[in-house]
Amino acid sequence: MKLAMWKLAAGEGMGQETTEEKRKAGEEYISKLQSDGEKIVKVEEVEGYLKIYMEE
Amino acid sequence: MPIFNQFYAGEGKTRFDQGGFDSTTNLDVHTELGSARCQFALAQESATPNEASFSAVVSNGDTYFCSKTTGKIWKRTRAGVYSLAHTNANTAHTGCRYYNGYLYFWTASKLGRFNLSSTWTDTFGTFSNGKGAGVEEINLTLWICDGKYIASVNSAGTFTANALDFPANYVATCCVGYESSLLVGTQIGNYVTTCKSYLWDTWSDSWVIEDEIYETGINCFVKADNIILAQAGTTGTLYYWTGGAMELLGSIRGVTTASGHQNAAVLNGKPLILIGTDVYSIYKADKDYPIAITHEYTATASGSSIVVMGNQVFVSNASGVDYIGANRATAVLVTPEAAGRTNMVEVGYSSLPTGTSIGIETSVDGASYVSQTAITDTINKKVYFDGGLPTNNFMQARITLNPSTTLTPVVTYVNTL
Repeated sequence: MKLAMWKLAAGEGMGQETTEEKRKAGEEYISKLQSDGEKIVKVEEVEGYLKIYMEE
Repeated sequence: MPIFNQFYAGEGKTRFDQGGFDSTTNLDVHTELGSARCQFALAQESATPNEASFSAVVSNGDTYFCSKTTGKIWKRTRAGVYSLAHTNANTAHTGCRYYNGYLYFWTASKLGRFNLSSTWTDTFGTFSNGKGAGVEEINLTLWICDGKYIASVNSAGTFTANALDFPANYVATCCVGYESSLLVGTQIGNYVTTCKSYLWDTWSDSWVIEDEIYETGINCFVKADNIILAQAGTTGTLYYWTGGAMELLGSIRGVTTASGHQNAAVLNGKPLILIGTDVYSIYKADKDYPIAITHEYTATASGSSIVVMGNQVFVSNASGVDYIGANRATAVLVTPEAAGRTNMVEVGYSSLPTGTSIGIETSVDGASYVSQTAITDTINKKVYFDGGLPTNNFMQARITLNPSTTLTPVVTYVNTL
């Protein structure tokens, strides 16, 4: 399996994405992976990251 | 009248700056401080890759060239044999780098890797913003610019698409390690004359320091000894990172610059920057001397990347790969504008091997250069022309050092009298 990580923790710098925005962007990223032909096996949230498992 | 012998100062700030030369071409001023000679010539080593490429040297000394226009990846063995190694299904590359036992190569949207034996993985990771660009390795991790994100691959081989995010209007172009932090250069757009550099400790959720400069973007970073230079904007401007801000250093005069994160390399401690066909050094060979900007090499065609392998330099272009050959290049240096009546020019030399020569041209009061008949005085070791300039208010001399294959003149001063 292939793994991609998506960070959810928000920074505090001016203009940085909030956690909510990061979560939404993460969903869009997963959709992008799927539209690129990646087969998503499992998505889990661990310690402030989405762990996206894909078929090799 | 002025004697110009501080070759180690390289090019001056302007045509009028008496502390440096107005221009230099293919000039080596660092090998023996206080003298100047012809630098080695860049020559084409191979007609393939015949596409402008990014380049990366891997642990065994092989060099890979990843095409900027197609998915082709070529290998140059350490011994100098070129071959097509792979074709990336994701097509045109935007960077490559050796890291942790793998050659990583990427397009705008996909990161691939090769285990240096047999397994090519074209899609190892997917960038979120489709803007894969510059790269750096620091803190055991590979960091790759992707638009408003920095993506990463850690030492366990895990890809993270958004290790750091910037404000949405900033596009990360290049990055470099500074102490144990990552310094990122950005741009907003080609017509927006402001951009920022961000310093990030690679652990926190936010960057630590940001600094704005009024340029259209940071094109590349140039690593030097304990100093990070940034080339920014379209006119050759150089900044250096103070630790908290980008401070103006100066500029490479008369050049047009554009984004290119692989346009800099370090050869034996000497930082080099590739601008079109020209390769400049930004270097001081001794702590007591100033940082000199000197034109050292001329590529056979406009380059797309520069990389160093051992003591060798490779410059990729659309027609092949250049390397440092055995022969010397014809070198030219131009003195600053010297005020006052000038009637002759003499060039002192330390060595003038058989077959080599020194040419002298003069420009008076801003008129075109006129070639002068040079006389060689082997007793006093100087080449001069015997006066006869028209009445003038100021003058510049253009000195040409003509090599003979591997042999070069070594000059020690230019005197305008």
